[in-house]
Amino acid sequence: MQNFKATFVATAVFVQAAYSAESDKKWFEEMVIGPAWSNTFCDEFKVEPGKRAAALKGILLDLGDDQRALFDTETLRLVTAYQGGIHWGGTPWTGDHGALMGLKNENPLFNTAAAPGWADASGSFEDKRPIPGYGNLAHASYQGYFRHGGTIVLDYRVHGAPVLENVQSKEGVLTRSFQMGKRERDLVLFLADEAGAFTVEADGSAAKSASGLEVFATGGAKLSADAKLPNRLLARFAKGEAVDAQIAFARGAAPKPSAAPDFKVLTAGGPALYPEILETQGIVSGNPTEPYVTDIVTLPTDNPWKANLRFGGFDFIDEDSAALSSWNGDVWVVRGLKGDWSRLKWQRIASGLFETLGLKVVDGKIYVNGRDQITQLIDLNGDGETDHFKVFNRDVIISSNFHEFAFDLQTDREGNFYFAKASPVRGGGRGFDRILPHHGIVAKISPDGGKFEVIATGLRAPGGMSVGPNGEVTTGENEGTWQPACKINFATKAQLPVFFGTEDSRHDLTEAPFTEPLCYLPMDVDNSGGGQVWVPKTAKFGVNEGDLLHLSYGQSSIYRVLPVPRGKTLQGGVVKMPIKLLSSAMRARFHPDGSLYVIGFRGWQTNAATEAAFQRIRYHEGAVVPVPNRLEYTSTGVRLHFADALDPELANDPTSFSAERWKYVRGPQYGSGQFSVDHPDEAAEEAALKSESKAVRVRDTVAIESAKLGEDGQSVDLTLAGWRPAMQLKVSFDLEDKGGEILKGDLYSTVYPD
Amino acid sequence: MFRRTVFLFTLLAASAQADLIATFSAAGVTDVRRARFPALSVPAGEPATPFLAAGPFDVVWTGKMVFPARRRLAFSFEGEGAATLKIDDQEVLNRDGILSGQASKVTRLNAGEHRVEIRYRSKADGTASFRFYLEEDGIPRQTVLPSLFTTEMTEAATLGEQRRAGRLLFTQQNCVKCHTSDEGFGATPMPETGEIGPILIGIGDRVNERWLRRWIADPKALKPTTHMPTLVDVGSAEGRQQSADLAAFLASQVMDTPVGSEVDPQLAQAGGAHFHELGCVACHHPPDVSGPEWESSRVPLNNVSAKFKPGALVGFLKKPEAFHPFTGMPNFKLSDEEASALAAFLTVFSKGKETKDPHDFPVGDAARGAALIESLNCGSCHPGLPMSPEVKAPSLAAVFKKDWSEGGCVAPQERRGKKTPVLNLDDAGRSALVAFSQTGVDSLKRDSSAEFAMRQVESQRCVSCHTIDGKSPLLDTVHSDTAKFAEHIKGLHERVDQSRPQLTLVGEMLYTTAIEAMIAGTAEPRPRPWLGMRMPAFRAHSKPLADAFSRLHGFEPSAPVKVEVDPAMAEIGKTLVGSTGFGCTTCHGVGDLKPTAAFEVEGIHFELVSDRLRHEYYHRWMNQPRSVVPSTKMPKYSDGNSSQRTDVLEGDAYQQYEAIWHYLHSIE
Repeated sequence: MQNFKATFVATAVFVQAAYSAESDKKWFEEMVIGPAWSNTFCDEFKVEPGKRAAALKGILLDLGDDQRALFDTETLRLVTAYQGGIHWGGTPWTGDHGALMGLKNENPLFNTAAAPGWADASGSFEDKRPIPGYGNLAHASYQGYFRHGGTIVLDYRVHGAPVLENVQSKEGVLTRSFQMGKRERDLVLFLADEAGAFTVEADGSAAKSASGLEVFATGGAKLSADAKLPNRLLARFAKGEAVDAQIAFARGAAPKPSAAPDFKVLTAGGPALYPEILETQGIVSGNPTEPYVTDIVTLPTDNPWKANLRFGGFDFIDEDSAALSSWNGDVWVVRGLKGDWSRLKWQRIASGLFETLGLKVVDGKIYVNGRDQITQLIDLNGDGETDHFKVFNRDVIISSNFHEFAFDLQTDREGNFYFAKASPVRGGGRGFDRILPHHGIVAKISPDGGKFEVIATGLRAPGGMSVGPNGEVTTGENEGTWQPACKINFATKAQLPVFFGTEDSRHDLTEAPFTEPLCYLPMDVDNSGGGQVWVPKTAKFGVNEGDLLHLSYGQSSIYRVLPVPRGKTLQGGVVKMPIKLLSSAMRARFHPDGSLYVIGFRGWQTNAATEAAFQRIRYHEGAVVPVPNRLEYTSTGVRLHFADALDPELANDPTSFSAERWKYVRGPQYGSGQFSVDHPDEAAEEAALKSESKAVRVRDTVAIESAKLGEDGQSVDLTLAGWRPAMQLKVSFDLEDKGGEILKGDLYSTVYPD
Repeated sequence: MFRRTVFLFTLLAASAQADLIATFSAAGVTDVRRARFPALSVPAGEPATPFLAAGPFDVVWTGKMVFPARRRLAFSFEGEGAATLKIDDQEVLNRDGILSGQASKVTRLNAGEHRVEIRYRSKADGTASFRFYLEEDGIPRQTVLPSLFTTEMTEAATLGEQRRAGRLLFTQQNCVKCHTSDEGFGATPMPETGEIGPILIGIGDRVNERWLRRWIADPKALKPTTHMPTLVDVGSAEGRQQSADLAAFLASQVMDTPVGSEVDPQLAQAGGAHFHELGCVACHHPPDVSGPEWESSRVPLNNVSAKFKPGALVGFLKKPEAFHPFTGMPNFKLSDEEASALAAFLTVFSKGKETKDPHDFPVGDAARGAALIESLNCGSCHPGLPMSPEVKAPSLAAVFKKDWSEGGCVAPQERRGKKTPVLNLDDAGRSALVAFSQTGVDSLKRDSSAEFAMRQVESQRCVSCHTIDGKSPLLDTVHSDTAKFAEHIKGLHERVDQSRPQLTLVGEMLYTTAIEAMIAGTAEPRPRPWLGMRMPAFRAHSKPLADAFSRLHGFEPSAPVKVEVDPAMAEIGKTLVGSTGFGCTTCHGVGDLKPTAAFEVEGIHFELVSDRLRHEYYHRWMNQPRSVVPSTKMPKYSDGNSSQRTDVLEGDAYQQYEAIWHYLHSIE
């Protein structure tokens, strides 16, 4: 017992208890998120019936004294300003699969209805986006924000003119301060919608609505009521040179603007929000006798900000440090990886990002992928903390669906970025909400961030992905609608763009064939895929350069992928590596020292033993890796290759092997049962298209007609009775090498007819 | 009827991968049947099988165990008596007395089939208790799954099964209601001998005369699986007159009950959604389907609108057992809204779909009908109807002295007497009854709990909704046929997994009281409230059936066993189920807390565990959930006995699960 408690502390697993130990507050109510919080928010704006998705890519500005303002980075408008808190929702927070994060803005200072925040070239506020309500405006674009202490400066462009904006709240007055760059045309800003009409002073400096909102403008801004909607207040910035302006809002009293901010200072970096460097002691296993040992990079779960550290993306900055991004929007840097891990140093360098499940470091620059955008994190003043949250690319179109996660962030040799996006699965896991163009895709972004391209469609819940040395693209996939089982998607560079099977998110690839996976994986092998990792030359891991490893989030396992050529692409299978993980397996990267680092957390079904973990897997040089290292399909069965010489008696004994095969039915139902290949049951397969068939489990037992050790002494030729293609072939082996080491495991593969 | 018998055998054949042949012998008599697995729990006074007398007995289970891959297994027994295990003709284990104890040495069994023979001798007083276990490195001791067994039928086993089918048919056809036994069936009869047909008191309030006429004329034309005999020759004018007279009499049987109102067609759409949601097609054809399909033996509903009087259908749906305690229709505890909507749906959608009536019937005469009812002895099966003491069928004892293939109700038409009722039998059914007749009457005076359980599984159509031994239920195939009726329901596809629980290990999984509560419909709260479907109540035999399920798996029926909670272990268990442990609370509710993030699936509330699960099943489930339910989303937290969680209780998975067990039993 004592042992249990001691190690529980030592591993310092994050306590995501429903309620915190110290108070009645739930953990997410205690977590310090920071002054700018990116998320999808809904609010209580009654102009539209009921709650509305107030901002899909919103930034909730914490203005102090319980004052908040929501800025929509797609329409570039201040959606609401109010005093009050949050109606908690959202999967990474409350675990809710559907309810959005809501704002308690029942009594706002003001609201704006859904519309572009700035007029287009024709002076219109009509939503002319290709899909109204979704995506970026053509005439205005968000560029990111600067942080100076707790002060935020929003950075965007309107009709080419740079705009910096700061929002402050003081004594009931909300002040929007602008630094307007040179303007080639008049810029018209949408300020507020009220129940009663606005009356505006003739000089445009002040306005008051019949329902009590008073607005005051200084500098280059002139107020006016919308000609068609007198309840709507606008502000015009005339064409011309750079100018500063302020617009103040209050109810019940004439608003006096706050002191004008010094934008030059605010955009040059400022005091850190999280100056404490936290130390943890890593747990380094003794010298391995097993092929692999797992060391634990202890997470700073007991941190002053109660930050939930379920890391879903990471990369090495250098040999000594790594950056990690969490599901709840934090980015941390850990230093000391090169040393003995007795004093690992952790710094919280960013917070308030939007479900950041991918991170990539390129030339020392940290890029983090959230649901809203890829953000470059820039430290302007050398204190390690991010001062500039710069947009790298935000072309991705999102909806409010809880499930459209943005997984992973990878690059190819040319420097292009990639990530995989899920489809908007409904709350029960079956079917989809409205599909938008970037649902269920792999996105490719040019090295400069300027070009966003869809290179794969038809994904449901990929979990993670990889880009191979030759531009190959892989993703995981979770069983569900149109996905009969979990699987590993694979496409060569030449094959792209490809369609990976979910018909609802097929998008423009209307004529594209279904690109079948490298292999399917039954539930007990992988019930929820993670990322993949290609083995680099520098790896010291008992596997070969160019090999592919697949991570199972659901089974907290790492699989070696054994590819078999299939024309110009690949088929093949997987075997489980003898690696034990403390949490799930979501992302893995090889460290320059040759070891493999793995992160994982628990957010949906997984057998992960802890909430989150960051681990290093070391290979015991020379140890026998008890899994095959190569797979071939012969004309009569399979040939398994091992790294070591095999005991001939067992290798030549057919009873050392067994095999089964079955197929799945791909269709609109959730997942699939298992159906006979050898004795097809057409009625059952037909029924599986109409209703869920997961209870069906018919596997063909395949006789091992012969087992023959190859001349190299390291491979075995298996003749399988009635050798034929199968969506799923399982071959179990129970062998020994010449030294008596037991080599026992299961190969799960897919055999295609072509 | 032929098809119905086929269905029975299809069900048995469906478990061909879960089969052994069990040869019982007692007092020099041998009886052979199939067995899904080797297990027994025989209380004092109960025979090992209905065809043997109570008392000491021997049983030999023979067949094969099939392993898809090499296993290294140790075997053990549980129970009392004497038992021997042979695998591939080699003795592996031999125990006498208390059977628990050290397991056999580890036996390496290569992939493929292995002959298995298990011999068991009951205690001297005839009671028996036996279960068969395996264990493997890292896999806790557990009973051998039915799916590992297979066998080929022998002549003796086929005959044994045929006798059993005949015995069941004999009671289902209510033969003992006419062929009465002077001495009765004793203190522990075959339970089905006590079943009665529908009570027809006040039938005129509930059912239309026109439908009654049609029904009496040719019952199987309306319900192919009916046990109602054909009593008149509808091909003759006399027979049609008799139908009309009988119907007229029955229609006159009214009580002073208020007449209900017509169904509200506006509710039909909602009723269709209920019809789909409740999975009614597991046992019925949709009401708009008029041609009965024989294979699945489902009851047609196309004559519902023709049958029921206004309001009567709602009453029937709400309490099907009110006038028929042994009806196959279970009680869904429908709300008023549900019952009204379902009645509306069934009425509206069956209108115009009635089975075509090729005959013209004359006007009936109730007085003549009354006389005829007496002469036909309808009251034998339908309590309350008039009976004539003058009309008497041969006694039960006399019947069993005859050759049933040569005459009487079972014989084919050409050998049947003119006055003999025409039972709804096919050739297979006749053969089964003949085979049964040769065993004598004694088996009706006794029963085996295990056999009762399996009979009920078939006759109550449990497997139409539940998977057993890997065989998918009929509902999985036909449920999509009614999806159209629920298309208007928003969010129907946004729910978590709607899979129903399996029956394969039910007697081993649940305490008897928990099984009984599920069967009787008294389980509160519902263990799986997320299911749109719900387990209806089968109240006729709920207690004996629950006992029988336990005994089928070799367990003495029992209520929950009090667990002495170790507070330290419970504390560890509490941590393990929480978010710092395995995160069980993601899918399982505990206390007032709902599951924190149930997505795609939900788990049973932890408070219910201590009243439901038996300890050894719990460990089987925790160790390898997919070996029990292959499609479950329940994660597997250990590889062998090595837990994912290495820092708790030295990574010993069994101990960690034991800690959770203590925690689950500490929850108030």
